[in-house]
Amino acid sequence: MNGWHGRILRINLTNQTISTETIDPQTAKDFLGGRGWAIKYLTDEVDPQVDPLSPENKLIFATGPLTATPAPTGNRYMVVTKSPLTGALSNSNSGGDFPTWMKRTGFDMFIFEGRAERPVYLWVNEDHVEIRPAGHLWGKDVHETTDLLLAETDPKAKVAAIGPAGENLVKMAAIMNDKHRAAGRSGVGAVMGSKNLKAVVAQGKKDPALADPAGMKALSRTMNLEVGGDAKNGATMRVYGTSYVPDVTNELGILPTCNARTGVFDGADRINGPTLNEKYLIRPTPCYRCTLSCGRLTEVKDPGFEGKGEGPEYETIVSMGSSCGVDNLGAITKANYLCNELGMDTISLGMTISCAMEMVEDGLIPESDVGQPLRFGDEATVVEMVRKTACREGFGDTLAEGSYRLAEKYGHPEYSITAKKLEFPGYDPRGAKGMGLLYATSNIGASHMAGDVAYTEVFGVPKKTDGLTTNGKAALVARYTDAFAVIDATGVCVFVSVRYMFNGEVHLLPTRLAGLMNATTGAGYTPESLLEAGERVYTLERLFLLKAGFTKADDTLPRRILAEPMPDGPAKGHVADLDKMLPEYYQLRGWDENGVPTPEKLQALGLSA
Amino acid sequence: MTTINISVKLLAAYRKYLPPEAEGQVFHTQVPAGAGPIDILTQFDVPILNNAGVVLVNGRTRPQDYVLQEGDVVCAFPAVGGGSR
Repeated sequence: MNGWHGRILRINLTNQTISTETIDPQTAKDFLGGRGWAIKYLTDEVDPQVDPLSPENKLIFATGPLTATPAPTGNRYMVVTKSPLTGALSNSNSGGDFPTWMKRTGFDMFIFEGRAERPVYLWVNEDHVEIRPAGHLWGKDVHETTDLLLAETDPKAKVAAIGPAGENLVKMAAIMNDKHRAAGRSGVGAVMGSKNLKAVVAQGKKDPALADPAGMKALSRTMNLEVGGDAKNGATMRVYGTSYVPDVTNELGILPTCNARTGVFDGADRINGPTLNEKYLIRPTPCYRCTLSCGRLTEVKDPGFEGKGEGPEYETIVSMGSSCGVDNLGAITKANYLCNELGMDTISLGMTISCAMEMVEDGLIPESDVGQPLRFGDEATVVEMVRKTACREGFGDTLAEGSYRLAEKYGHPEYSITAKKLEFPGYDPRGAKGMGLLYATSNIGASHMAGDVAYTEVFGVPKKTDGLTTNGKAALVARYTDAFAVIDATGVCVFVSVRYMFNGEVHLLPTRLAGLMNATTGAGYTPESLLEAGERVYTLERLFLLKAGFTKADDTLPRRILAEPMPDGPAKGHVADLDKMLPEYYQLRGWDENGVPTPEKLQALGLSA
Repeated sequence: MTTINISVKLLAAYRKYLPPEAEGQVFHTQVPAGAGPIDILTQFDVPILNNAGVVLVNGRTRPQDYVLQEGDVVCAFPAVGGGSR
């Protein structure tokens, strides 16, 4: 095979056995790789009603055919499993170095089954695969774990690991790789911790074979020159990463502030890109072989918030910043460092803290339960709550369950700003209505990366559409969710692929991405057949959710977002208007009025039982 | 000819087009009555044409023929990514 190795590593942690297998070539092609292969295997092997933290759940690491190829940003992998936070799917994505090293072991995918009796880690050095004891690592943070593992395996290997949060089954625990990169959302770190799997170390030299090496070289070179050329011209992503975004969303009035009470934050210009550059930025950092370099290497010397590491990026600036009413970028950055070291999703944790803040303020959570004041704007307490959550200490034990269970515990689940129990990202749907439809329908819950129509509603890529209208948003969300399923399956990064690998129209078509896929795999995709494969993946995920017990009643948004008009700013007076988009979305998708894919649709996608 | 007072905010990579008198990311200026946001931005050499930049007035997208009003805030930022390839 080209592009794909066509080899899967299966690790049974209960029996401590390792086996390898191949994949049917048609299946490989139909499901693309990465996120696509993972849902196919999860569907075939895991009962959707499984308890996510039980040994019967499976944890899948999946690279794509473009991972470890010359494709620009061919450096990504997915972590797919059933989520303990949401009960829906996890489709957690990460870059850095580890995914490329994982692909170079000669395996496309690792499937972890069962549960180890005692903490272990997996060491994969091409065909030399070992399950090794990790008792000496259990309890250590991600940085120390990584350093120790490299010393006892190979200093040039790469590591994916959980921190104490994953070990403590914190429901927003992440799987970190290369210390600073996160497969962040949906609590994938807790699934890993529930299996007593501390880390995975990968090394190898098996670059994937290419169907058309010359074509691949030419296509990749053209795109890399474009990306690098733009970066040299002072392009925003190189200069600021995503830290420039608070000014943009604040201007549009959709910057989540004080647990989505409003979309305008008067501290926005104290937590923006220019402030980060002035006070804390050392330099941009890239994932492996990426010329965009959106990563930030930073250092904070402010007393009480000292630290050094990577980040923050936009979502953290919202979740630990504006959503908590915090305008201290040093504190936000420190919270970010702690989340990386302890292994937690900054989005879900920050939004859970802000949910608690509002409930305390409204007298619904007694301060005695928290053990200290917890007010909007109190940056030191935010940082302390991050530490407490990782070890489930005091009120941290409640925060560790996520905002929905926290709010429900105190009798008011409507305070939780989530969809399917996954906390909102940094775009308030009352002023970006397509995003509301996306959050309500995505197969992992409220995620921008499931099909980021903010590209057009907020960022003007490739053209600006109006976030305050609902016309045409159903079609847009359908197209974006298919396109992002393709991106997640192939192994490239959203930031570069949307800009450089699609057709430059609002209704994305993966033109050059198909070229890259064909030069790599030789599988003869067209842009349309790639999109269709994306739809196949998305629809199979939907079926998993339906079997897990989700219904159209779960395709919804918090009451505040549906019914409380935005109180300030350019989106003042607006609500999410989900009801104006959802029926059309079901129709366009070929689902019935209950949001269930029809037999005709399943047949067309080759998904009939 | 009457003029009106407006403010202009330039974000991200467009900050380099801010005039010296700008306070942070904002400067205040006068434009002739009847001017549109594109007019003032091209005057300051901000490269917003061909969907390369996003232009908002008071935080909202406006039709092509929008006429600036007294006190309007024009905001522009690069369409990160942007354009067709």
